[in-house]
Amino acid sequence: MPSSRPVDPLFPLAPPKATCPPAGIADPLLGVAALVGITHLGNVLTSALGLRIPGAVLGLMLLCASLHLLPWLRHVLSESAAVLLRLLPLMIIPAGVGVMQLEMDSHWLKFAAACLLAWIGTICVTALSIERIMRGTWTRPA
Amino acid sequence: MNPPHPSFWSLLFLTLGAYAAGTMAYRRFKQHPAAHPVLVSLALIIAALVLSGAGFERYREANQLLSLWMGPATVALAVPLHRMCVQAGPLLVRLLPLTGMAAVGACTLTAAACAVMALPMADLWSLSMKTTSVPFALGAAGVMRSSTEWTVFAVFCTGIPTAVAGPWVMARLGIRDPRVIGLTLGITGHAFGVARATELGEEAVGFASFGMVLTGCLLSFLIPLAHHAWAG
Repeated sequence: MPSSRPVDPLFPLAPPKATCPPAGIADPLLGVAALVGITHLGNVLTSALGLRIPGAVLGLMLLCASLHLLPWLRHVLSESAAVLLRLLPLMIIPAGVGVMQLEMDSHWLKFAAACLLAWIGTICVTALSIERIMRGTWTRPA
Repeated sequence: MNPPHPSFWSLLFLTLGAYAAGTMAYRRFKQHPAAHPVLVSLALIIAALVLSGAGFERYREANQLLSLWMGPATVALAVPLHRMCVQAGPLLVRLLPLTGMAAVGACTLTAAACAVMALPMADLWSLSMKTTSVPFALGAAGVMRSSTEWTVFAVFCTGIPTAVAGPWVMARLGIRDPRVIGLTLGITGHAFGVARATELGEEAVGFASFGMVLTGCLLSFLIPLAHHAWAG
């Protein structure tokens, strides 16, 4: 009977034991282990074959193909992939802080100006060409 | 195992605490694109490091625990990419070459901007990955052995204007379709563009992340290849 279950004084709000089977914790960890394994595989393959692409990107492509070929893999990975992707912004912060090492001189200004110049061109050309090419081919109108 | 440097935990806490503050600020400012958690935490961390006099090298070492997970997280992007590919169905035949053309076109415009500003060749390789997300850009910079700081700077210099002004620019061009806006935000503004696409609805986010991942994959192939062909 749920009402007679003794309340744990340390975790009074913890759910009843029956709702979280011990095997449950293995699933996200299995997914993370698989993602780490694929990253390793990508790194090993790129260095062994002398490919000039980042190992993680090769891993991404391999995983995308595997997800297509092995549908059960989607259940193993969906939860852990969501967790890692939610934390991705946090992971890029140390790399972003490295920007503080750059000297803000005239070269810095020229670099930033080139960025903005290319940005405004890119966004206009991209948006207009997508609109032009995809017009009439969407499955349903917006 | 060697005990960590005394400042290890404080420097790791700095990142996590600043990011937590950044998420709160983002919510407080009603998800304004300029208050993106990454930008707020970067400002806080750089200010703290400059004021305390702690060097970047020590900070980088302490936070390897976080940055090394970028590899598996990049691989994890295959899950949303695969989901979008399934959802797009027959449209994929048109979307794939379209995204590819847009990514290559972005690089051509980057080269033109580099020439206008008379920047050296080394900067072109850093700038050419600017429409990809940080993990892709860093991966390609590692392969080409170009400067990671300049590469990340270029990525931020492209992502921030896209998130802040991207939809405004497209509205001036007369583009109203949220799917076109989403895809363009993803292709030109990577993760910042995807964050901005959330206000346009679920479908726009899907197109934006599709554009982001595809552009990242494609340029991670093409730019190191072009670099190899150029530099030998």
